Amino acid sequence: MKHGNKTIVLLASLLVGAAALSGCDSGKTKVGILQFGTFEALTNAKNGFVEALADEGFKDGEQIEITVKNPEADSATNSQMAGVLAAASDLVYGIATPSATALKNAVTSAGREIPVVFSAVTDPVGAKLVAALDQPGANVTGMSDLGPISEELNLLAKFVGIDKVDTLYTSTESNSVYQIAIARTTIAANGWGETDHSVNNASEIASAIAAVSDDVDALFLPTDDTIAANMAMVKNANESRAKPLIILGCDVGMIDGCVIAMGVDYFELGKQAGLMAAQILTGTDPADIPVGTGDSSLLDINKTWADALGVAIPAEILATTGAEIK
Amino acid sequence: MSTFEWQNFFISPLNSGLIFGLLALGVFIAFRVLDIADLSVEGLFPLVSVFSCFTILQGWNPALVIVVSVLIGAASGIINALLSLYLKIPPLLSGIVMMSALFAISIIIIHFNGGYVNLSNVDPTVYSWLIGVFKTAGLNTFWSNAVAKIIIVGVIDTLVVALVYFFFGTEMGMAVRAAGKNKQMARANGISVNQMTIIGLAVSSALVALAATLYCQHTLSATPQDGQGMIVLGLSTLFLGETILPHRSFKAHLLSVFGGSFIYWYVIQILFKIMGDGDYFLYLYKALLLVLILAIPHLLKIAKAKISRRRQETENAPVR
Repeated sequence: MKHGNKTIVLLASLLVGAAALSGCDSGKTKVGILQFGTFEALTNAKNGFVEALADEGFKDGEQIEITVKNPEADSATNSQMAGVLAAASDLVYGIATPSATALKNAVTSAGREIPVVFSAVTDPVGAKLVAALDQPGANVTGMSDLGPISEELNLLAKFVGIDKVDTLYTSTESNSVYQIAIARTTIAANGWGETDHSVNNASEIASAIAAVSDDVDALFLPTDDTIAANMAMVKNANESRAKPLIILGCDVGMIDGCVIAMGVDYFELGKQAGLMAAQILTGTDPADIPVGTGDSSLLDINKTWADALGVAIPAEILATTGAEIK
Repeated sequence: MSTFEWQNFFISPLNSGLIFGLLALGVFIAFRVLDIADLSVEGLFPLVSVFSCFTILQGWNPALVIVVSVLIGAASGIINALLSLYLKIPPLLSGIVMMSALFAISIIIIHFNGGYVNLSNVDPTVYSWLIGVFKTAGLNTFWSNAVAKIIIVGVIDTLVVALVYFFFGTEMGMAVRAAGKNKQMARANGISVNQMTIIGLAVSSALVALAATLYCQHTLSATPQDGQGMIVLGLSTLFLGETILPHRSFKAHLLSVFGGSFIYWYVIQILFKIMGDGDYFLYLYKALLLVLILAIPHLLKIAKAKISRRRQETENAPVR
């Protein structure tokens, strides 16, 4: 190709130009946010973080400068963006396990000792983010979104006539796989039969719910990005079953398609992470900030839908203090 | 920009370019040499990533992990070829079948390990040793990492390109190329087209596997989602290289694949810089920029042809 050289020169000048353009330095503390994808839960975790920082006196554009990057769930782009943020920020915030681990590794291999705060990570120890939950011990800390799985399944035990429980999750989400293992143990401990269905993407949700056998009474959903983003689909699929399932969700954002949702509120989770970041920015060593978990006492009950499905919610559960009944 | 940003701006795309150049080379062999659109890449990449991290966690030597990964890749290519050649499944579909199967195995491994196969920075990778050497020599963490990775992947890339070039120059390699170019003609010359397709796909998939294992040891993490978009990445890299760089000879064509890979990752890096906050437009900009880059050589050609035609016209115009 004759014009190859010209194109290369053009590209090179573009490269230098772009680098020069972004050369301005404001001197403000820079906070980089890497949000793995556009899922409602993750967006809430981002908004909560920004709000908590602002409440603590770190407003974007005033005291600090926030840069948000979102690779839309593409792994290669995710780690490339993590490198950019790790190099440019004074503190980074990773939302969801792939983004949090990418940031941690980018910070480490860049030889920067900047703090890494995470949220929406279910098992920070298994994901190799921290050495131990109560003593993170390095520059990484944050909020785990592990919900009250056993507590929620124990609520299910109060319903009448539960024999078999199904679990539905996205097989590619590490966080979900981890939670399903916990759920299985609790289901077995309650003496119920257990089946599970996994999907690879949103389009499979409806057929997975249709495939749950008719003798199953309840369906357990972990905090799962793909499923949480498609609760309307879950609801529709469940309504078209001969015998609708009692659906339990681990994220209060899922309540529209659930009878009971207990556990994590991602906006609150993001706020907690934001408070941690504010603490770190005012001088606390992240190594000394224990990994937090969301407020697990949150309980949402979708009575309207339960009535429509003909599911009787035990009075004991309805009487739970602090429960939000829709 | 701070020093850290400058360093990252130039080194990070170099790293990615070197590693994903191998992926593009694999795609090149399947797509250009054999004329097969091999979609199994999207399943093979995450399988090898997850497998590599898993076995390293089990205490395998990273060099052994690389060897086994390449063998897994070759085996996958062979099975893929057998499916399409002997069970008469159309190649596009056999690639899809392989993609699902390999993807499923990556999910099984992840389940087996409790959801995560992430490495921490104390786990050994193929890069660790050299990084350690540079650190003891007094280099800082960034440069130890950068130089060690560039040297190791660079050496592997050079060896691979040399081997691939040598292989496609041998009688067998020529036969593979002939089988891809013109099946009837190859058969008429006594070449076993089936055998050559098997060999070609094995080499192609082995290269994809090599890229995957080098990549996950670079990022220290692997999930079954890692394969998403890999075939698109490989193809756009390939076309970028072909459009912008000379590729008349086979050697030049091989090198253009790597050139395309560097260009692609620098373009992405520039986009990150230009865009700053909020990346809702990232993929749209990426598409537009790729169109622009791919169209420039063509537009220049048209412009030049027009200019020379006009010049000719003025030269040939009758003198009044």
